Order: sequence, then structure tokens, then C-alpha cells
Amino acid sequence: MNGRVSGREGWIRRLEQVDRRVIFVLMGLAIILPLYTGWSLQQTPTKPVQDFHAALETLPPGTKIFIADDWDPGSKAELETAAVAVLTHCFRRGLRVIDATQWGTGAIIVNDTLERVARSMGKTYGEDYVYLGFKEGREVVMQAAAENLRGVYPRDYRGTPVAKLPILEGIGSLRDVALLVSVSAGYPGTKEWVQQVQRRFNVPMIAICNGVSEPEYQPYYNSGQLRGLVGGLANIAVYERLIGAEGFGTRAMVAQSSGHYMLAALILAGNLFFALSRRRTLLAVAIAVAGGGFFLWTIVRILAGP
Amino acid sequence: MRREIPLFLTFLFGTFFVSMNFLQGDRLREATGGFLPDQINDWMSIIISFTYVLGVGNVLRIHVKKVARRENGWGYSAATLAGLAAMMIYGLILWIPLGIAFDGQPASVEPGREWMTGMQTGSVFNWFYDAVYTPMQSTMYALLAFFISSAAFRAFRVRSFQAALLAVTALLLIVGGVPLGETVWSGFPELTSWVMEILQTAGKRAILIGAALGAISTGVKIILGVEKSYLGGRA
Amino acid sequence: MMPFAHLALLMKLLCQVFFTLAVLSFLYRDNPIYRFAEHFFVGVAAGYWIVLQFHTVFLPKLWTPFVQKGLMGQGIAPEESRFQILLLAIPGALGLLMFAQFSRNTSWLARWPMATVIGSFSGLAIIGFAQGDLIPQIQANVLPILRPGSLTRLGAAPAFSTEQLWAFLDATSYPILTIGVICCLIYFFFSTEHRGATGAAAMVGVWFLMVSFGASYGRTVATRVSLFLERATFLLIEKTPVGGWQVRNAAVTAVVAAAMIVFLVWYFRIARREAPAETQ
Repeated sequence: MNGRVSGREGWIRRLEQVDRRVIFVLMGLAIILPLYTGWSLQQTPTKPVQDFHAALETLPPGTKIFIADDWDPGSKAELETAAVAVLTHCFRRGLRVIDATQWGTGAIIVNDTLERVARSMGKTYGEDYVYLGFKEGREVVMQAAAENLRGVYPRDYRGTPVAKLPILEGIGSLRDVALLVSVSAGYPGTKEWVQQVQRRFNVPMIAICNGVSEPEYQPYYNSGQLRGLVGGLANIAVYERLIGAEGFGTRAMVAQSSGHYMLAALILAGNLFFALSRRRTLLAVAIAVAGGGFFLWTIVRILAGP
Repeated sequence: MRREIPLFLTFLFGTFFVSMNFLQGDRLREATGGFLPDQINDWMSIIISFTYVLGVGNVLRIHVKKVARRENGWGYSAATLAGLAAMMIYGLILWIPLGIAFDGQPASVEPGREWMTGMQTGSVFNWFYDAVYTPMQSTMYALLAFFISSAAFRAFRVRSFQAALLAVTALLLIVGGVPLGETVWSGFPELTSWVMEILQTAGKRAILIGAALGAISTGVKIILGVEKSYLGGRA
Repeated sequence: MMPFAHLALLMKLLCQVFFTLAVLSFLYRDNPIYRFAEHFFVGVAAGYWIVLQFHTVFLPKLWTPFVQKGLMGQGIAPEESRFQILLLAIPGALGLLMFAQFSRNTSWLARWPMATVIGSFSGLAIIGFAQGDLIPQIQANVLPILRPGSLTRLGAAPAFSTEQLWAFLDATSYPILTIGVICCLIYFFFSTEHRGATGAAAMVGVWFLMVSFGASYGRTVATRVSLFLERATFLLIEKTPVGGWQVRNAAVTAVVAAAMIVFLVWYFRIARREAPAETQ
């Protein structure tokens, strides 16, 4: 870089290289401020979400299902919300829940979530639900549980022998459950259940996962290996509305939307300054027109209301 | 022998788990008196659980050395050791006076003494998990929201047609994948759903197929002893 | 005086807020509060894993059966074999052999347990990837040229309407899946030079891969935003029941944040004064 940078180029470069803490503040405000508005936003359910809902909705009361709660506090935002929604749906339908986790770091929080929802709905441990806890082994445990559930979990998380639990009567393996619900944050999770259990033992399966994992699991839904798929907090919020149990997901949608739009604006702004600094006028105009026009239209639509 | 025995063990256990796909578990259980496959599955759990002890041993070694030698930042290492000690005392040691039942679980706990048990509701161990582990882990990942926004502004540059494809798809899902998107245009949910189910699935499916071929060939090579890099250097 | 249980709940809330803010303070800059929290977390996490393995694997699957049933011969069920239980010495020994890596003379023994684990997971991977990924995904992509009924739907849709757009996308779904997967697989095939028709197909494959990476990025953004959203809700909006009260988390956050800010201002001023040559 030789000589003095001109005024226009100077401020473009300054904007391009703005302290990242300014961006942090913008992002933080975009997410925090809408939390105080009390507004709500709705979204139309898509087919994978509808299929997920239908898979549980069509099971008769008293049916035993297996929930693989493979998440930990690192995915609390999305998957604790998801787990609460799934459990609420199951208990309202009168389904009996056999719960376990492949994530060691999630053993306690999964138990706490299950207990909280079950107690709030007046469910009885051992009859309506059971928590088998965590066993080390990942895929080894998955295929072993599919073959011989009681061999892998001779006792539940509380130490009670499984033979004494009424809910596990007639359940020798995962082939004996009507549905496997995977609540998945990553590895080990839905992919491993599909690989080790779904196809091999012909166990019907649905999955609810965090946003990061959803694109990866779409091929499984497309191929029919998963009968339903819910991915990301937005879809979890849609699922909450479908079951009539609006929770954190629904309350978070305005802030979630705001955060997304701020990030989109940052991407566009970054590319606009890049185009301007490289004197790529056409690209800069295209970004400014398209981006500016879109955000203007967004404001018009928000002000216009539903 | 130093390499032959591990290679044989790899072959033995690898072949076992492959063959389990073709054998009926119930018949095998009956024929071996329950040894196969259940015992082997338990063996794996036991061996894998020792790796965590190894990891913790490493953590101990590094931080104890730092504290003993009063190296730079030794105070932080003392904090690490304090956290480790607290969890182990409340999870392993305090639990012993309650009595070790032969079924591997603590004997029934008197009311008011739940705080001594490891991993049972009401224990101090669980308290540490809720008070320290949960907020730390969830907040560590929450930081990524800020880093991704900073990276989006500073590094996400559309310099080519391929990058433009990536950017357009990302932006479509960012703005269309939230309820506000439907407020802006009612067609966003359907469009993003189609992009997820069809357009991006093509690439992901190809990756799945390619990765599956790679994993299968690598697995076969490892089991047959062709791939030996996991054994490390010379014996 | 506050009952112990309520005090414990209040202390838990304080710790949760403190550790959350400690991690968030890293966004400003690296600082002693963050470092303390990070190091303490490492210790807690390490201790957690040890206790978890002890209660879920070591005690119920190794120690208790081996000692009580195997060595002492007590409580063996009719269908169990004492000999098989004594064989638990093998995984126990293999597990202990992992510690052999700390001595140069015996480090070769640590390969034995590694080999069993790697062999097991390789075997599971072969079967899992073959029957879970390879075959079903190929099967799912053997598709007719057009989705049945899609052309009729396209013809029936009003011109230049969104319905026509959806019908068009629906009609192109199968061709896109077929062409997309094949082109991406051609791109992954590096045994042939990507020239001519192969090169063109590979380029189309790259386009599809870029779209799938863009989708992953878009969904990753969603996850990251929701993670901070949950933390912000916890710090600022939620209330925690302590005894009969509903403690406003925002109030606790304000107090803890104020204390942290005072400490950090003091720390950075002292640090600057004592190390003026230190680069920032």
C-alpha cells in the first residue's frame, strides 16, 4: 500500500476492518432486545415436521417407545426444548417412554428434564416412563441394545433391576418398541442409530435434532429411513405449536429471527465493503440494491402486519 | 510379536462385530451360554471406560507439575485440581460410607443424606454439574454465535460463482428458515423446505455414499491388517 | 436463617450466572476471570467423567460381578457361569494395559487394548456404513425421471403463480436428485482426470456441493444464534424459584456483572501500569 489512502477508500477500509467487538455488540443487541417485546411469530409446518408429529400422533395410547436423548448442556437451547416437546407429546398421547442416552455428559440433564416433564404431567416412574441412563460404548451399546436391551441395561439409572419395572415387560430388545425417537446433537446420535439399528433391525425411527445436524440427516428422511425429521429451533417451535405446548422455542422465535436477519445484514455489508474496496462497482450495486431492497421490504411487511 | 498380537486382536474383534450382522443373536446366546454377544459388548464398554481414566490421568499430571514447579499460571492449574478434587470427593469418596451394595449401587439412602451420593438426585455432585458444568458448556458454545457473526462480516467473501452459490443458499436459509421469513414472503417455508429436501440432499447423499465407501474400505484394511498406522511407530 | 436447601439453590444460581458471564467476558478480551472459569471447568469435567465411568461401567460391569460373583462365588444366577464372569479379568487387564504407555519399555503393550477398540469400531463401521448409508442411499436415488403426478400438477397450475413455481420445483426434484448425486460422485472420482465431459460433470457436482455447504452454513447459523439466545434468556428474562420467592435472574446478573466489571477495570489498569511494554 503506497501513498496516502483517499478519504473514501479510507472509510471503506475502516468499515471493513471494524473492531470485531462492535459486531459482537450488534449481534448481542439483535438477539437480546426482541426478548423484551413479547411479540410472537408463526411459521407453517413443513412436511418433515408434520411427518414427525404424525408418527407419534398415530400411535395408540399405551404404546411403548424408545427415546434416545443424545444431547448434553452444549445443545441445551435446542434439544432440551425438543426433549420437553417430545416428552409432552408422548405423555399427552398416553405413550410409555423408555429413555436412555449415549452422551455421558448429558446423563444428568436428560434425567432432570425427563423427571421435570413427567412429574408436571403426573406420570408414574416405572409404569409410564423409565430412564435407563448412560452406558459407555456408543455404536457397541446401540447395536447391543437393539439385540438385547436388558443385557445392556440390567438396571435403570436409579439402580432398580429392570425385571422389576412394569414398563419393560415384554421389552427384550429395541425390536419390541413401536418407535425409536432420536433426539440428537451429533455423534453418537441419529446417524449411528440409523446405521446400527434402524435398517438392521427394521425399527421405525424419527429424529429431532439441532440445526447443524439437520442437513446431514435429510438424506435419511428422503430415503424413508427416518419417517419424520425436525431440525433446528425454528422447526422445534413449529412442532411445539402443532402439539399445543408452546415453550421456549415459540417464545424465542422473534429473537431468533432478529439474530438471523442481523447476520444476513453482516454478510451483505461485509461483501458490499469488499466490493467497494476492490472497485467492483457492479457487484456493489447489485448487493446494495438486492440487500437494501430486501430489508426495506422486510420492514414494510413487519409494519403492515399479518 | 509386538505388532502381530495387536493385529490379531483387531482382526478378531473386527470380524466378530462384522459377523454379528449375519448371525442370530439369540441362537449365539444359547449356544455359548450367554457369553456371545453380550459379554463381548460389556468387554468393550469396560475397555473404553479406561480411556477416560487415562485422559484424566494426563490432566492430573500436567497440572500437578505446573503447581509443584510454580510455573507461570500455576494458580489456574490449582483451580483445575480443585474442580477435579471436588467432583471426585463428592462422586466417589463421600459415597463410600453409605455402603457399597453388591449390585453396584449405593444402599438405600437415608433422607437428608442424598447430598453424599454420586449422581443421584440431590447430591452435591449433581449440584456441581448444574452450577458449573451446564452453564460453562452451554455458554462456550454460545460464544460461537458471536464468532460466526464476526467471521460472516470479515471473511465471508463472494469471490467466485461457486462462492456465490454457497452464499445465496446460506442467505436463503438464514432469512427464510425463521418465522420472520414467512412474514416477508409466504413462500419461504416451502422454498427452504425444497432446498433442504432436494437441492442440498443431492450433495449430502453423494457425500454419504462416498464416505460410506471410504469407511468400508478403511475398515476392511484395518481388520485385515493392511492399515497399521494406528499402531504407531516401531515397536 | 435461610434453610440450607434454599441457600444451595441460591448459590447454584449465583454460580450459574458467574460462570456464564465469565465465559462471555472472553468476547471483550482474554482475562483472569475467564481463565479461572475455564480451568475450573476442565477440572470439573474431568472429575465428572471419572465418576460417570465409575458408577455406570466400572462398578456394575466389572468390579461387582468380578469380586462378588467371580471371586467370592456369591449371588450367581442359574443362567450365569462363574467361569464367564471370571473372564472379566481380560477386559480389566486390557484396560490397565493402557497405562503401560507411560513407560518406554512397556509402551508396546498399550497397543493391545487400542487394537481391540479399533477393531470393534472398524467392524461396526463396515456394517453400519454399508447397510445404513451405502445401500439405502443408492436405492433411494434410483428414481423415475419425473415424480408421478408432478407433470399433471405443473400443467394444472395457474401461469406465473407461486403454485406453478412449487409444481415446477416438484417436477424437477427427481432429475435434480439424480443428476446432482451422479455429478457429485463424478467429482469425487479422482482416478480420471476432470476434463471434457467428466470435467463438466465434476463442475456441476461442485455446484451441488456448494449448495449443500451453504445449507449447512445456514443451519449452523441457526444453531449458534439459538445457543446464545438461551443463555441471554437465562441471564435476563428467567426467574428462579428459591423457597417461596421468584428470584429475578436479571438482578443477580446485574450484581455479578457489576462486580466483574469493577474487577476487570482494576485488573487491566494495574496490569498496564506494571507492564507498560506489554503488547495488547
